[in-house]
Amino acid sequence: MTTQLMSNRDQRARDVMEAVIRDALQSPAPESIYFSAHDNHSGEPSLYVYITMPEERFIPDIEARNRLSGALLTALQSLDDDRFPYVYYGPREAFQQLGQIRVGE
Amino acid sequence: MTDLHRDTLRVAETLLTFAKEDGFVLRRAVSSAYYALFQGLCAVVAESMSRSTSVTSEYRRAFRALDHRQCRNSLNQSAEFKNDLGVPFAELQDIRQWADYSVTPHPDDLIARTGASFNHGQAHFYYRKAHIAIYYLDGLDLAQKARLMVTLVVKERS
Repeated sequence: MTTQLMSNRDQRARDVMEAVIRDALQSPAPESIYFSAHDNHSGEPSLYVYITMPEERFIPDIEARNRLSGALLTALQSLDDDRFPYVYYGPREAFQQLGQIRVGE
Repeated sequence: MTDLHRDTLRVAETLLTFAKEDGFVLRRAVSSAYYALFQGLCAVVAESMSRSTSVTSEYRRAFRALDHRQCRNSLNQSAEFKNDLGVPFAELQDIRQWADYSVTPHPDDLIARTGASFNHGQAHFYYRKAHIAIYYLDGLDLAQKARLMVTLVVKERS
């Protein structure tokens, strides 16, 4: 099991992102939200969010996902945090194994 | 606008049609999807700067004005273009970086550690992102294209 520790900056980013996500996704609400901070494939510090929805049909469409990612970018910019948030959606089964890799603690 | 970006998007679509679960072909498909969007942005800039839709010498020069990194940063700092272009551009740029240079089976390290590979559905998701963003580009009026050109090309002075 791997645990990735979050810095204070990561925790502030996580808090603001969680508020934006819970505001945007209300019916139904996400079952769980995992956060992680690590580099992307360009080697840039980035933020990763894994949102578990009750069923696959509740996953937002592409335009709605873009709007939510845009809202996350805006919220992060208000913290002077210029990391890009990559957001993955899935039903519980999609992230079952991810649950074994503890993230965002 | 010239059709280079539409042709490149068709390459991505063709690769997806025949790829099934072939990882290497899926990589080429998402890489092409990214370049289709980048070329679409280049065409908007060329058209706005040269005031021409045909390939004049000015159009050709302006078509090469964009820098990949500056594109990503400028779009994501723009209130007008962040949602429809900035987010898909950044996500496609990162998936292209993975597709072209990474040996890991999935673009996200944590998901790769679960043993999951990048699959056809995920590749198709990125293709659709590029397709929707290009559709948005094609629907811009002249004033919007001019604002997009300024967003992409003109650097902020502090």
